[in-house]
Amino acid sequence: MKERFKRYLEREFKRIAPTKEAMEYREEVFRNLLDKSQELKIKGIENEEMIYEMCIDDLGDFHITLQDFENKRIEIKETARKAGITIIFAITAILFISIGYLIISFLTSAWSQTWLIFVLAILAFIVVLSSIRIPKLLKENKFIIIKLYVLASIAMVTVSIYLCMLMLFTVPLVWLAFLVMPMIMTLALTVISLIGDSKMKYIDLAAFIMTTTSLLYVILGILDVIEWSWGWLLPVFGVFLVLLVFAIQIIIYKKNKISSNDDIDKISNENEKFYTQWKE
Amino acid sequence: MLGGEILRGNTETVILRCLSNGDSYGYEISKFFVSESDNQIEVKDATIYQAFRRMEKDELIEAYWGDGVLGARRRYYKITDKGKKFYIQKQEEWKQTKKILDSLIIGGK
Repeated sequence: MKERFKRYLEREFKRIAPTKEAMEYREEVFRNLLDKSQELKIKGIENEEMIYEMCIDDLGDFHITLQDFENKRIEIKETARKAGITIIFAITAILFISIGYLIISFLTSAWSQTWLIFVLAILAFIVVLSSIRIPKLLKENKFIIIKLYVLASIAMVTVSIYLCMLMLFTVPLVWLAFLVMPMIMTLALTVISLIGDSKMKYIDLAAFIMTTTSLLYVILGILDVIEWSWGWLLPVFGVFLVLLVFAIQIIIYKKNKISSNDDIDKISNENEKFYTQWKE
Repeated sequence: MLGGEILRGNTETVILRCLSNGDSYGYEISKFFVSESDNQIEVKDATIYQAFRRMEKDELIEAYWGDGVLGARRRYYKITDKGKKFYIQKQEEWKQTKKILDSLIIGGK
């Protein structure tokens, strides 16, 4: 009996990889079969074939559990493979960038500027990571995480542009990049909300309008493009635009509600006709 | 004897009740189902082992290898603190469910 159980389990467990976990489970099932057969013998059943059949039948469908072991093994293998590739890629990239940094620094002796290579490397990392993750997140409709990736990318791009312009070309008023950054950020948030048809889309649009008109007023004022004395009309125009956006939103909402009520009335009328219609 | 399907998602709770009395192993737990239901319910081993795996994953129980009374090596299961809390919560949920279903099916408020 013991050997028959062993052979049965060996046959069944050959369907999956012999992991430690699976083998422990096999031993557990084997012990269970032995306990059960022992009890049946104590109860007075003498026919070995009958005992064997009853024990196997009581096992039920344990193939689902076996498949779970296999799925888990594949999942672990895949995770380990991805982690391995990521680590190798990260080490290679760090080594490559560090060697590049040292070579360029020694050749040019521009140590005060070459450290920007690391800033650009971080920028490249964030942009690459965002471009890989965002399409997947879009499929999963995870717009909040997408927004975080986009904001981080915009912030990193701004910092990189600011540092490069300041350190390499000494461009005046380059700090204005930090005033442009919120405009781009709110624009990006609005676009994402519109793509995702988010409830926040009008609020994001309002934030974009207010941020852009206010900061444009400041930037154009600093650059002497507009007069400070009347330039304030630009944010006021922004407020007007925001009010217009909200007014349009209310109109659309009311129109949809009326149209939806009309549809309900139409369906109700049709139903009423159906309920009250008789053949004689 | 009825099949385990009558339990409808309560297999874990019954196992937790069994383990609340002390550590146990697969076969003993399957006998617990039969004895506590007055030979009314029999649950297939595969159902119990699948429940074990889910509960281990959810950290409701812990497994360890131990020696049985006759020296046989067995995989024992132990209820965790999280499992104890979960069991109490499930008991309360069941009391509520039973009350509602009694009202709906038997009536006689």
